[in-house]
Amino acid sequence: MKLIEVLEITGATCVAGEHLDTVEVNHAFASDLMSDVLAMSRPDTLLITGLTTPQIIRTAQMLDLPAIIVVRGKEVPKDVADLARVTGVVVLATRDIMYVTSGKLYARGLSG
Amino acid sequence: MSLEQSVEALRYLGLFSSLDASSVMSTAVYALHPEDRVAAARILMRENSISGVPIVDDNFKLVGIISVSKIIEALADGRLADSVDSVMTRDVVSLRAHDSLETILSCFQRFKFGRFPVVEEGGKLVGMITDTDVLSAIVRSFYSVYVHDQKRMMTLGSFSALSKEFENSADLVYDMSCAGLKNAGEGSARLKAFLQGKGFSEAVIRRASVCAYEAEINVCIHAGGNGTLRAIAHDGEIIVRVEDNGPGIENIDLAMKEGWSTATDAIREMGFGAGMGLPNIRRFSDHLVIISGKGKPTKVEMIFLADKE
Repeated sequence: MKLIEVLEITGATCVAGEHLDTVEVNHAFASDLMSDVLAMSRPDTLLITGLTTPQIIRTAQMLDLPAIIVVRGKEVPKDVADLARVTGVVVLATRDIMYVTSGKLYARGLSG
Repeated sequence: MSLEQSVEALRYLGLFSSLDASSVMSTAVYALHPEDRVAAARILMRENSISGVPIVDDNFKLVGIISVSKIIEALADGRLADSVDSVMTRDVVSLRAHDSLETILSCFQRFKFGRFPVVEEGGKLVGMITDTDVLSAIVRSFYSVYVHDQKRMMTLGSFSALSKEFENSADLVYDMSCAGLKNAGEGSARLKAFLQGKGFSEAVIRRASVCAYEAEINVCIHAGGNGTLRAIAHDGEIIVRVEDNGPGIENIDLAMKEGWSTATDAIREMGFGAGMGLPNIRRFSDHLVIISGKGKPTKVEMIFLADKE
């Protein structure tokens, strides 16, 4: 699924990153526990999280995750958005809660 | 103590709980098709010094097994030119890829066979387990988490489980200085870039980066954020060592358990401290040495083998 579709399906805005029409994700993982993400994720995975610390970017960077969607309407701090730009991780943000975001994406074919 | 009691003790103590059939089995396996001749099985077994050959259909689904005793019977009856299908044992006792070490040992005890095929869902053959495979896996598991404390270091004198190479130099040195978790990951990010420059595969770089990151997080959570990350990379091997100045790990066995942590709620709110750090490091590294103790510095050395992928 292209990130531009993720954006449309979840009604999210793009906080950092570009090329949403070319970057693709094939799975998603929803968690606020970064160690669980580190334990279980595959590279082409979209991270769905309610955290907005720099560690979400670092976690994505270590795992080669192309993008993160921040849920629950959390504002992404500037230093986190800056780190995302430097490391090339796309960050989207939606007002929906994690369950709804996951459900919408799952219903449109983005598997776990 | 009978093997049965030993197996019960293993289960009770949770020893070797990370070993399952998929990590014990040999994956380079000889197999034959039901239409192959018995003579072919005999040659295969003689040339490779194996005592049993699994028989698989066109889709690699396990359909039988042929052992030395069946070959001897066939030899006596003059049936070497017959198909394997006509002499093989059809009722095969097999293991599943996720079966525990206890299950494997119970099988050896119950059935007295020398080998067990391992199958995945749907019955496809994925490996074989002999008693030698079990022994090797147990020896390997000792090496993969070799933890020792100061006392043992004294007993062992100058012997060290850590790589000698860092005594001279390192290819990458990063001094950590981290208030809270804010800069955690900076060292691992540099390690990642360094390994990419060295041309390692994405998969091994990912494993090394994730482990270094978890180790860095641990330094930030437990050791005041001050420590060093060093790495040496050559000949398909990446050695990463993360050291701090304490306060040390009081009970390493507990620290290796998934879900066990001494981290505060504040750390948990930042997405860490769920007790997955060292278990993750163990999961993704090929060799791991941890030297620590109460009130002592902690040294975590991880080795990643590029050709393991």
